[in-house]
Amino acid sequence: MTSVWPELERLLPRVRKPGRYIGGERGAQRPAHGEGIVSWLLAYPDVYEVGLPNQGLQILYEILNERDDAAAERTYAPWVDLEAEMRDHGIPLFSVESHRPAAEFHVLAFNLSSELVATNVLNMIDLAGVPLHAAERTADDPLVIVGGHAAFNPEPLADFIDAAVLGDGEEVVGELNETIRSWRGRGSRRELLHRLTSIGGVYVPSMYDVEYAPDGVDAHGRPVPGGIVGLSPCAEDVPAVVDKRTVADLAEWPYPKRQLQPLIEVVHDRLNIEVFRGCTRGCRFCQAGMITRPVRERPPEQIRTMVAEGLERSGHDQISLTSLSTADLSDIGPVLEGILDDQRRSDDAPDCGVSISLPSLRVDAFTVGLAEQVTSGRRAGLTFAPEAGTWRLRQVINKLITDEDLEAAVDAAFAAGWTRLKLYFLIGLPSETDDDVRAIVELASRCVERGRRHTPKASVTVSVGGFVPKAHTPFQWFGQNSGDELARKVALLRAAARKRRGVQVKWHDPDASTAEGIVSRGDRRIGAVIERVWRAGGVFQEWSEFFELERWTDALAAVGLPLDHVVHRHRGPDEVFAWTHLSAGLFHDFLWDDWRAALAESGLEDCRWTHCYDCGVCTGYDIDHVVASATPPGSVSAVPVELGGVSA
Amino acid sequence: MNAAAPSSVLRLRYRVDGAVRFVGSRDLCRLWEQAIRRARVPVAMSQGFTPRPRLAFGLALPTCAESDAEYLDVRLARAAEDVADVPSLAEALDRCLPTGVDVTAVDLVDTSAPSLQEAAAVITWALWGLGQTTEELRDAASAALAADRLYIERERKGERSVDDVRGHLLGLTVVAPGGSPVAFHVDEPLVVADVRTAGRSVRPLEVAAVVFGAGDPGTVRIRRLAQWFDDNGRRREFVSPDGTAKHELLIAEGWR
Repeated sequence: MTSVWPELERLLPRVRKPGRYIGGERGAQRPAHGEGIVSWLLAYPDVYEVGLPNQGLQILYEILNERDDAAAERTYAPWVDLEAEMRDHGIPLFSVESHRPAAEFHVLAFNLSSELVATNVLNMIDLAGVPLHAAERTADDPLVIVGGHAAFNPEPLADFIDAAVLGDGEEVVGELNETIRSWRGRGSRRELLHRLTSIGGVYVPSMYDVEYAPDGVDAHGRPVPGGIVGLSPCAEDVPAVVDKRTVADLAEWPYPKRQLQPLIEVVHDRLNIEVFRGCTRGCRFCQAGMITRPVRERPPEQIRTMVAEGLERSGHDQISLTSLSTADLSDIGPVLEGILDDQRRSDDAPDCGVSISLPSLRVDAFTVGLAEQVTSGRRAGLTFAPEAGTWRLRQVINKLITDEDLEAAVDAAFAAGWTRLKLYFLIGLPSETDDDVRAIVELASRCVERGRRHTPKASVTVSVGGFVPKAHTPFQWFGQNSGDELARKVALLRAAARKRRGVQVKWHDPDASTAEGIVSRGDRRIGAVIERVWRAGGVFQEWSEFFELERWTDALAAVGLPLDHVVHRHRGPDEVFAWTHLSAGLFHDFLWDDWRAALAESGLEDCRWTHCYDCGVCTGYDIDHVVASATPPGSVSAVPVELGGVSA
Repeated sequence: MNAAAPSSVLRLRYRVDGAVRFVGSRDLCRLWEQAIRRARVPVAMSQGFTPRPRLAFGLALPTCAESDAEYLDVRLARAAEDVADVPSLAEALDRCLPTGVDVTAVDLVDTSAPSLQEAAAVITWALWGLGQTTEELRDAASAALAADRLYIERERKGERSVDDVRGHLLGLTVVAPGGSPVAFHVDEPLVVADVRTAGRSVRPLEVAAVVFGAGDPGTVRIRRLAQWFDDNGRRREFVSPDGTAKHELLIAEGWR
């Protein structure tokens, strides 16, 4: 059990923010490693400030360390300055707790939240001194596994990972630990990998063969790679389809119990409590919602207890109740009141009030009322995500917010004292026209005018991102808009906004959306592209200061994959997707039917509170929603919302 | 809070030791705010939209340096006589601080006391990792103290200047390995430097560079040993470092 600390200590004065690498956080653990104990290195492939708050990683950290037969430590991507020093001085990737070299762990487990961290994953494997390609690893090398939302299409990383875990990690991580522990030292690496395939939710790419059709030409006579014919297991006891894992009862997993409190400043530095997992609003662009069904709420009493205990322990003055759509929590009103009551009763320093943040606000006046309840002090900015500029397009994407809903919410917000609104939109959505794009600014402008009735300082910032179609969503057949097209639409928005007072436009780099699109629906052949981008120095691709589309397009050209074909092509009903053998529980037919319904501009209501339309998840996995109430929060009657109704 | 509200100042002395030295001073301020909150210190809050605890830090410690003499003034929302059990308060705070940041002494002072930053007149630094023998260090130290001028080149906001820092250097003592009178232990020769804080002062790493030719922040180690203020020609530490939290009203000693 070695430590790189003596060598590392001498390098830290030369780099920025050396506090990123010293550990020492409140809540950090120093587990014992040794015989009969599986050592895990949980890795977030981005810089410390971004990775530390990640709840998924913290949950697994605690669960593993509660076991006698597991020991988990953490690591994050070293910033480029330290990485250069590490490579110069032969210092490998290390854990922040004991500064142990990564290769001394049995498992190197990455949390994949997005596509563009892929090159960081490769970089960290390399820095660990582990062979980059999975096929070259021996029984002495750590197992490299990935989890998180982007692991639902792990094929672009298939060459580099030993396994991917789909879905909730709480239960499966124990099963993985058990399997690894009982194998240790008693077989070849391939035997271990084979054993892993018997664990539900664990996908081992090397146990599957991919068959491609012969290369051909497109309608314009340009060469295109052959599509996937099939993905099949190479042994009889390996499942043809890997299903995700779903924790049925969140109440059994009250984690994190001791949220990590860093020594240096990080993002999201407040007490984070997950109030529910999953989302059934059915927004068609949203992969997170599609892959995390059904909804499983944490019981209201448990939320209150976790908040009270968490605040007592940490001394934070801000809480964030996290989920994909927190205002949809069935008992949200009473839960908030309960939390505020607890605070009022326990405060012996009344000036140090606690403020509650509700990320992902629903767009209606009820939610603004909630926000009013919880925001103490000055109200500055409030964020809504209408995502599309017209009701028509919102029906296509199934974000069922009418213009009236939005304007009522905005009015309520300004009336309550907010002065700045941020509105999130996607551009490049299926069936989008220039009128839809211009409508974004018109909508924002109407919001400004509403605001000016309440305050002369009213302003609206429109924040747009290019839409990247994702696996396991109804839009997985849609050909992504080109970077030029997205840029043209951004220019359209900016020109329109210049003529409207109080409307500002911010936008995500269209080139970055293009690169995301390369990985998002990529198959195994994209692995070579990712490797080339990494070798060309393309780390931290989520960071604008390091991102260059050219590295990606050069890499595509070098391996003979046309960008148009990979990213911008519309897929047809016969397309065999790279993730065809991986399931988030959704019937393929459901997704296809929902895609057709989208193009017919037909909306689908939230199945928590309306009838089930058999997407496949609950029936397939024999689970159900766990919700505290049968009516949606904020509805005025007890009658469930009818399909075709207009309320949100 | 108006001027008539009861108030006093808790003056804390603390140590920064070990890996926590790599946490920058801004983050250290944040950690102090969190600790004060968790320890339920009756701190006074500022006015305005975002009330903040009223803290006044002493001179910033360079990142990567350790210290036995850091100071913080915490403005309390209580009069001195109403502050119960200062030692327990200090201990409660100490428990809420990260490993390596320890409260070593505490006093209650009057709110009219000069600020820590204004009053600090002299700093004592320990330097080691200079890559030379005891003899070589002694020769260099003597040479520096015998010199009329000691020039260093600096760059500030894009402008270069050449400054004479000899006047800031009050003393240099070389301590052989094992001969250290100070509270921590190193296995190599150590230099104790007394530096005046007036004007732009001279930073410890600059002393290492200009006197001993050792400027690499990776190998030179720095530890602040004391901060002194001028008490009618005598230098005194703001709070005595006797290692225990104690309660001593400096008002009684004529502090104004």
